[in-house]
Amino acid sequence: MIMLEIKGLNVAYDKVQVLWDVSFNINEGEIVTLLGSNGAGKSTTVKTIQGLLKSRSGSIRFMDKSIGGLPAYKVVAAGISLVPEGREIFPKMSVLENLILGAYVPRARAKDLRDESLDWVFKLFPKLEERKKQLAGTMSGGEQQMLAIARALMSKPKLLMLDEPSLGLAPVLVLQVFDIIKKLNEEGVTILLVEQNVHHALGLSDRAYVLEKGRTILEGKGFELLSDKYVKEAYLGM
Amino acid sequence: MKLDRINIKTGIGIVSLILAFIVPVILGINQYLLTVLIITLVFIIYSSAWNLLALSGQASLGHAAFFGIGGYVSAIITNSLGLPPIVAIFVGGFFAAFIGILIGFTCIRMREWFLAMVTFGFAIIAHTITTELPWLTGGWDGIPAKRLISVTITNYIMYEYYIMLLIAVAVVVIIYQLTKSRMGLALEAIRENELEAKVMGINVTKYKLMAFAVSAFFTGIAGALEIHHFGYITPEVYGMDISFWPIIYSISGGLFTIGGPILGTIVITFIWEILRTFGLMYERFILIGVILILIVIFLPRGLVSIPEKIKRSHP
Repeated sequence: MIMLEIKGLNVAYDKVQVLWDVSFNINEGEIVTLLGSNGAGKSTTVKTIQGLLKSRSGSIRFMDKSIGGLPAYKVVAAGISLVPEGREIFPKMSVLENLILGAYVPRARAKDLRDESLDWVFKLFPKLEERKKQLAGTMSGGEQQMLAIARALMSKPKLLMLDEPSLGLAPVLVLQVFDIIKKLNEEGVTILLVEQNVHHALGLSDRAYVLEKGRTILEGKGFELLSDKYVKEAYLGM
Repeated sequence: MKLDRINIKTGIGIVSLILAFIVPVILGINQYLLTVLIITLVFIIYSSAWNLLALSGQASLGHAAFFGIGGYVSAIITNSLGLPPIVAIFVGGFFAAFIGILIGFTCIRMREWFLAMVTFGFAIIAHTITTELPWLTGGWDGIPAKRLISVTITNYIMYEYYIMLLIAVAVVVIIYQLTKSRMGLALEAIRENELEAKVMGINVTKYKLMAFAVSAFFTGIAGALEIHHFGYITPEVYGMDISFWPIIYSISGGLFTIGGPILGTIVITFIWEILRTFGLMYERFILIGVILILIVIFLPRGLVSIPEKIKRSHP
C-alpha cells in the first residue's frame, strides 16, 4: 500500500528552481533511500514534504490525504516526522525536555502516551536515559544525533524521515545509526532516508531513488542499484 | 540541591511579598516613598511583559508604543465614557494587545535586529499619530486622566499602592503560569531553534502572535496604570527611555526568568532614586550606564544569578 506519493513536485527558492518534476512513492513498511550528490535537492525534498518549504506545483499525498501546502505542525500531526540535517537539537534544554518537546503534537502529548514513548526511546537509546537531566548541548555528537532521532520518534510517526543521519559521525557510530534505523523499521516505522553514505544506505534499503540536479533519474531495489553501473561510477567511485 | 535552591527563591519571594504588603503600615503613609513604589510596581508589570516576549526570541525596542497606547485608550475612554479607571485599564490593555497582534504579523518572519528595528519604528509611528490627532489626544499638550483613586479621599495614595500591588502580583503569577505551561515550553523552543520547533509540530506563528498579544496586553495595562496615577498623559509616554527601561531592568535582573525583571526593576529604581537624593540629576545616567556594563560583564545572567554564583565559589 502506498503511504507517501509525490507527483511532479517543483520547488524553487525565489527564482532558482531546485526540484524539477520529482516523483516517487513509499510503501507502508519500507525503507526508501534518496541518493544524490550535494545540491541534488535531497534536503529540499524532505523539507517540502514536512511543510517547511512551499512547492510551486505538484502533489504530496500521505495516507490518501493531500498534505501539500500544509504548515509543518499539521504535517507532524498527520504522522510524518523529520530528523533534520546536522543534529539540530535544543542545546540549552535538558535531554528530557528535548524529548518532551518531541511529543508536542496532540496525537502524542497525553501523559500516559508520552511516558509510553519515553520508555520506548529509552529502550532504543539507553544512554539517553542515563543522561536525561544533562543539557543536550553538552553531549557528544553521536549522542546528540541519537537524541535527535529519539525526539522525532516521540511524536509516534508513521513515516520517519532522516536527513543525512550519519553525517560527521565516527564509523562505529554510523553503524549504530543504521542498526537503529533497521530496528525501527522492524517495529513498523516506515522510513525515508537521505544519505550520502551510499554503500550502507543501499544495503539497508528496500528501494532507492537517485536525484540529480533536482530530477529523479534512477529508481531501483537497494541491492540492484548497488551493482548499477551509473551508481557505481558516480557514488562508489568504481 | 536543586530543591533547596527553589526553596530559597520561593522564600525570598514570600518574604518580599509580605514586606511589600506591610510597607505602608511600618513606614506610615509617606507620599514620596509610596509614589516611588507605585512606579516600581508599574515597571515590574511592564518589564515582566517585555521579558515574556523576549522569551519567545522576539526582542522589542519599541514597547513604549504599547505602554502609550494602553495609557491613551484608557485616558480617552474614562474621559469620554465615564468608565472608572480600574475598568478602563483593561480596555487599554486589550487595545494594545490588538495592535500587538497586528505588529506581530509584520514581525513573524523577522529575526533579531530586523524585528527590533520594526518595533522601534513602530513606537515612532505611534508617537507621530498621537501628536497629529489633537482633537482626540490633545496633541503635544496631552490630556488629563482620571486618578485611579480620587485625591479627595484620605490616604488615597495608600489605596492606589495596594491596587497596584495586587495587579502586579496577579500579572506576575499569570506570566509565571504561562511560562510553566505548554505555551512556555513552545516559546522557549522557538527561541532556541525555530526550525526545530516547527519540526516538533509547534505552530510557531500562533505562539509568536500569542506572545505579542499577551505582552502588549500587560504592557498596555502598565501604561494605563501609570497615567491614572499621574493624572495626565502626554506623548512623552512614547519616549525612547520608556522603551529602554524594561530592557535594562530585565537584563540587569536576569533575562528569561520570572524574578529577573522584578529584581532588576526594584534594584535599579532604588539606585536611581538614591542617586537623586544626592543631587545627581544627570550624573546618574552615567552611573546607571556603568552599573549596567558591570552587570553584563560580571553577571551575564543577571542579579538573580548571584546566589548560584556565591554557592559555586563557596561550596
